[in-house]
Amino acid sequence: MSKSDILAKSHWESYPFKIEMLAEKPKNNGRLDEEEAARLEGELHVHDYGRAETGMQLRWYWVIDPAQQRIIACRYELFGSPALRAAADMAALLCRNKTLQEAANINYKSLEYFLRDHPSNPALPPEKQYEILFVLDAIAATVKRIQGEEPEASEMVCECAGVNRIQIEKAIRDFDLDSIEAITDYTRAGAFCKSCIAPGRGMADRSLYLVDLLKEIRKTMEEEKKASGASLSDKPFKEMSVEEKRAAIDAVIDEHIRAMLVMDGGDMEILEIKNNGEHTDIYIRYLGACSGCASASTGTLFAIEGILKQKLDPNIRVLPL
Amino acid sequence: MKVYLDNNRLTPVDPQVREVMEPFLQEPYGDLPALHDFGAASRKAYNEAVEKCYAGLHASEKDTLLFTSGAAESNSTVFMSTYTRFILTGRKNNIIVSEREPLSILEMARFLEEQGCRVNYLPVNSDGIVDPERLTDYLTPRTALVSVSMVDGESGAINPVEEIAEICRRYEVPFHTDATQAMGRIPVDLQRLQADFLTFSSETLHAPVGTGGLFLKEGTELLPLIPGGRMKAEALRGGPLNIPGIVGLGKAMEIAADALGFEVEDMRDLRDKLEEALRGLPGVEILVPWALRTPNTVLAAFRGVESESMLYELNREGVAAYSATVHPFGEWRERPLTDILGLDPVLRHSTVGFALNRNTTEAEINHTIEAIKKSLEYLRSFSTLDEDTKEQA
Repeated sequence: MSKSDILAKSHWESYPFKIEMLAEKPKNNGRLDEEEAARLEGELHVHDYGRAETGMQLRWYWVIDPAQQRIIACRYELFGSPALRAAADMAALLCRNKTLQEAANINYKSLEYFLRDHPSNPALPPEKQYEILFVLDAIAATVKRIQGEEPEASEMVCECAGVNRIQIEKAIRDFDLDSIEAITDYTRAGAFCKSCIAPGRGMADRSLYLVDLLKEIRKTMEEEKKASGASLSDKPFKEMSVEEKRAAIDAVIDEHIRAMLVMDGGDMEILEIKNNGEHTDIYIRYLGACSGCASASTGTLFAIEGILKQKLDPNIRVLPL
Repeated sequence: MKVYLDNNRLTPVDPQVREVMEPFLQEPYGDLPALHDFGAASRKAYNEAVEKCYAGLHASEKDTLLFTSGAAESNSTVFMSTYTRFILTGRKNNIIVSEREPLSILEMARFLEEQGCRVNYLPVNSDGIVDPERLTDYLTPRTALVSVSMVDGESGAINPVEEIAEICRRYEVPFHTDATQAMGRIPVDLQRLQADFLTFSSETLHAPVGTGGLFLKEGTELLPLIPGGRMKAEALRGGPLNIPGIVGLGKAMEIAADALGFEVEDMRDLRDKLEEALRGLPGVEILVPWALRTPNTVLAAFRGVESESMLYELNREGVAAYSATVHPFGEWRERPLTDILGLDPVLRHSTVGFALNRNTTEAEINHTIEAIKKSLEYLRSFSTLDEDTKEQA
């Protein structure tokens, strides 16, 4: 514990303006009906995710263009907190005009960054992060069901929050979680009766406990890491192979650059990396709002190049295509 | 309009209480054992407060009162004393608490359990109260303490503590009750209630939070949790006494006792008006029967609406309410309140409670009713609630 723990706060006060705005005046809530779908010349899909018993339920109304498998209209109904409402509203906005596959690929970072007021301030406090993850899980599950896939059967770990083994394993891997508290923050497993955390706690004995699951998955992750060799090499950038360079560049972009672009509705991807004498040329493509932006070949480009030069190697050149 | 209906947590300070405290917040005042006029003035005010506390609870002259920093300290003192005197020495090996005790008691019970003491949790029945008959199932000659709070802080359910105390006396087991949530709402009478320990606190009595007390029945022994008293009044709790707090608490106790037949009845009428309005709304269930509840509390479950989102909407309308947490004490072996009361599991995350105080006005309640209707209609307009219930709504 430290001073920051002693200061009194509630998650309501720490909501960024965007979350507050979306919670107070959601734009995409409500339902879509067959009539609306017919008008848009699409198919209506309605799918539930979660249960009111566990405190969170989201029902997606998607109108899908059957030819392109693209979501042309998206609304939702929900049972959940104001933060969940804000996350669902933003997700509904993001899903529109995306193909099913693109919607399923919306990741935590992109949804979370869209909910931020400032690139360096997280949208939700740690103990509320599960709300964003829940919305993403709801999108992924809906895409699967529309594509005719059955959700993967998995052992229920936390009955109170309705979280299964696959969800927990995914959260541990995706967010590199290493404590029970972190698992609870991201999935809500263990937030209620605590039976599932460790033997002897809470009201019921269980066959699978979070402590064991965490240990097991961390162990597998360590082994996988060893087997694949360290993904980020300790070598100086100059001596890296192209693959290693790519991993290093990706890490820098994820950590320092992407947030900045996503805040403005854009993104970027690496097309190719070439060794060109003593220079390393990185060919990139802008996505979303960045493509066509006047600053993309000037200020933004210099910023990207500057960050990569500073973090990795002064001989990096970034070439947008 | 701002309406404060979270009075089971804290009540606003009564102007009369503030008035008697003011001299101690503005002028120099002496410590109780101090040998000067400042000390004498403090002693006079302190003694008056003591008299008012004894009178307010109808305590006998032979009972002992110690002042603490609040209910949590009073509760902890009883449990730690029981632990040191009976459990640690091996004379007793069991305590019994109800499953809906306040957090300080459940945490103490958990501590005792970790020390090897057997802890039994008295189940609460579908009316939200402890069934006294069940107590005899658990009582043994080696039970060191029974603790059942007088009123449940979330549901307002009134436990039959007089009967429980009677059973404990028959079995010669010390009985402790936390009366914090009962103070100023229902009569608390130490002549009728044969409790060995009784906890109360300032925050529910329209006095500033942070002062509490513990009554010990004649002949009851207690080891101090905080040693270091310099005079007899401090023997069971060391450190200089919180004189402004105690003076305020005394006055608050006097006003609360006077209010019982009058303001409290007005409060009950307003609560009933709110309750009536809630019962008239579709998909709303009231928890705990009317007759078994304190006159200031109504806890409802709103089908299809999540508690936090309801609190958020109500707050935007200026209404401060509370929700019954699903597993309030986290690490504890308790069931969600809605499950205990036998309600549909979908209502677990849908409870919102309203706790009035004796100064709540009719205009405030009218505003609250409108705010509830508006919030409910808005939230249900995009809730996952099934079609039929929505149409009824």
